[in-house]
Amino acid sequence: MVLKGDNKKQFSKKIQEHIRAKLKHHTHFKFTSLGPRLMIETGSPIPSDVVGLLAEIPGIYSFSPVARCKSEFEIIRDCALDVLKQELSDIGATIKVETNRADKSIPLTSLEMTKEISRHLFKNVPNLKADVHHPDMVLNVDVRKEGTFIYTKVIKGMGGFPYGTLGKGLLLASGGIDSPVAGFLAMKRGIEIEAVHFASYPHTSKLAEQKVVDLMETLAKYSDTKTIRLHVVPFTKIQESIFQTSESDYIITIMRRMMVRISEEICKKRNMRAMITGESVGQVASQTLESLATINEPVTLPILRPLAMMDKEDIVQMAKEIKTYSISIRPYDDCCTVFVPKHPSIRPRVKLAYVQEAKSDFASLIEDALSSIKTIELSSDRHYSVLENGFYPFE
Amino acid sequence: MKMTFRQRWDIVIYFDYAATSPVDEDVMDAYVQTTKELWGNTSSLHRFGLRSNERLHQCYKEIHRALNLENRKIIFTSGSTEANNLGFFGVVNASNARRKNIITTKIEHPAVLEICRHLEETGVSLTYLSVDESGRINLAELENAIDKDTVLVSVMWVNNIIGTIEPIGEIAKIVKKHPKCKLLVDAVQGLTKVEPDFDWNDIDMFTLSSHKIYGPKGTGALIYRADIDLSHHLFGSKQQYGIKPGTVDLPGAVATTMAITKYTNLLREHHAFVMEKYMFLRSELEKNPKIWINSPKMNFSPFIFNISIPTIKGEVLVRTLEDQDIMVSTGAACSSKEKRLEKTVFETTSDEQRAMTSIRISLSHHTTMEEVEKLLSALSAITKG
Repeated sequence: MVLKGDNKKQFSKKIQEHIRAKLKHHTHFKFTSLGPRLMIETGSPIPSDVVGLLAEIPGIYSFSPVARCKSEFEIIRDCALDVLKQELSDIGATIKVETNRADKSIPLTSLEMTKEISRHLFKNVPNLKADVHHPDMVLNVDVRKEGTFIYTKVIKGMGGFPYGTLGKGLLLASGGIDSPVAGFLAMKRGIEIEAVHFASYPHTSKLAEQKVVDLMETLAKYSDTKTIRLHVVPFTKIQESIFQTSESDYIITIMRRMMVRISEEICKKRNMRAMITGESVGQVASQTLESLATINEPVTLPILRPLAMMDKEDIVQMAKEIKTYSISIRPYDDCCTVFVPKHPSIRPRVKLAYVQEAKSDFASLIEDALSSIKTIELSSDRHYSVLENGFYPFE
Repeated sequence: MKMTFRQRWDIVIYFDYAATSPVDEDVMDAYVQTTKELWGNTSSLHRFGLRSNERLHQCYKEIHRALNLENRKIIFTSGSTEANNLGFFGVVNASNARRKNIITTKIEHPAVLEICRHLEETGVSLTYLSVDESGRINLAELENAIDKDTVLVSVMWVNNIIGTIEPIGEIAKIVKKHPKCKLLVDAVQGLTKVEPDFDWNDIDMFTLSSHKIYGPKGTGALIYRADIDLSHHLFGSKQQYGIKPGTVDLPGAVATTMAITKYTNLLREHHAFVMEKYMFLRSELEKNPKIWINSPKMNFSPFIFNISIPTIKGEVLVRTLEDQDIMVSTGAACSSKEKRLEKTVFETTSDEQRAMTSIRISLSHHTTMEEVEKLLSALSAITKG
């Protein structure tokens, strides 16, 4: 990981903590910080789950399984051969050796080392060929004071920023395809997330709530504590009230305005700086620019919309990659699908929204909803069953 | 106080017996005992196998005796869905007629309708009989529809959604006039609950499910006239006439047999017991103008009752009642996740609103007057609010 500026130290510390936590179950691992890099001594062979786990940590640019040896030329040469033999799978493969000397105590120059090591490899591995331009494999030899590191693979990490270094945000999770992808992108970007779900039981099933739980458990693996806190808000009364009092084309607008109001209150209470939604411009009527503006109007905290400019297919593709798609398509109505009018307004206006909202005492309904929120700590390690845990949250 | 699922289970008022029923203790004991003591393969030649095979034949005899059957083949299946599949494909594939026609009703269970839909795709012609507002088919329509190409007539005995009893005896008479045509009766909701007004020996084939009559899940049967040659579409050894090959599930067969015999003996007693609860429930709900009754006034099974509250979607009403620990159903449990319009209710009422808001209340000899009263007060509170 390479960073500039004053945050470097803090970021580096945070990500190293995350890595240590993630690999905690390998009690024999040793961690050593080498500037922007972290060295993990795993012993040999490297346990098979390590690569997968590191790929789930936001802020890692890349990582490599590395063999380490003493910085003495003969030892380096033999070690390079061992690494090559382990990694080589094709007869007649082409390679290139690259040497980098941070420690200059070895009398050979980098170029000389490259030549000597290559000669050793070609002598010992039949059919091996050199190709400096398009090799099948690059064997990197990194000579340092702590030892020499030899590796062939550079595995791309998640990228983004270390989890939590960009502050905390609240993900509005309906249970659909989009919101988990938005949550994932926020987490990757270093935002620690909590989630809020608006439950419309008995209009929706408990299984709709379970769906959100399962989605958040799937995302929880990217968090440094492998947990995500989910706030379940009883939304039935508000929704029924909207349905009874609002013009049908404003139902969705008003519903969304209520949701962001409640979400902003949760943010304030829990010290979160932004809301995150899965809205994508133009996807449905409530996602026109006019509509988004009207939805934003009652709150001051920013609403981040990581998917704003993405096409549905790309969102679906990403949802499949992060394994939330199959959960999202379970056929249970959520609060956004159960009360859908035939023709929602595509240009809702703030003034008219206020007219609708004046027809009911939403302030006290919101107050009630806020006071009966159920908060669940979800973890990627333990499954939470809505049915087993008192299925209606507000009893 | 937060309660776990299991704690809640004990205080539940269950009105969904048509979906499934709890296992009877005697049936369970028979199942467990057979599992432990008669584990020999019914096809084995040694005495372990012979003993098991003897028990299987004893089951055949007991079912014959309980239902006054003569010369029937009994195939134990995984349930009535499989039994219907074996029956349908067995008849249709056994016929080498060039044109084949099947007659069924518009209100059959998916275990029959989905087979029909599939057969239609393969070129078999299908006639779906409509039903009147009570859910009964029109016999004249059947008589018109049936012809020399008809290989199968499939009609359920008791409708699983609104409880209508179909005129099986009359249907059998009509089908009998066409020797090439077989009659298949889905007896799942009627067997051991409703006194048949026909002789089982006039029915070519019928299917049943064990778990609807206090037996275990995963077992049921296809029972048919011994002289019918069914074609088989499962392949393996020759058990159960080759129609359902594979090692026979003897514990399942014993349990199914026990459930049929025990509850057939109790039929009159239970029918009267449930009828009393049904009449009370029905007469009370008839007083409530906000509730529409979808079950017929004549030719009904008192075990199944269906209503609509037109202002509340069926699934929402199910959950609202569930909050008061009352379990009812929107219709066939297997399909309530997919479709919103209840097919039987729609066919009998032609009213979409009614079909979207219907719920099924199914009763049992376990149902108490107190439970009925609790249901009534819950429904009355819901319709007031």
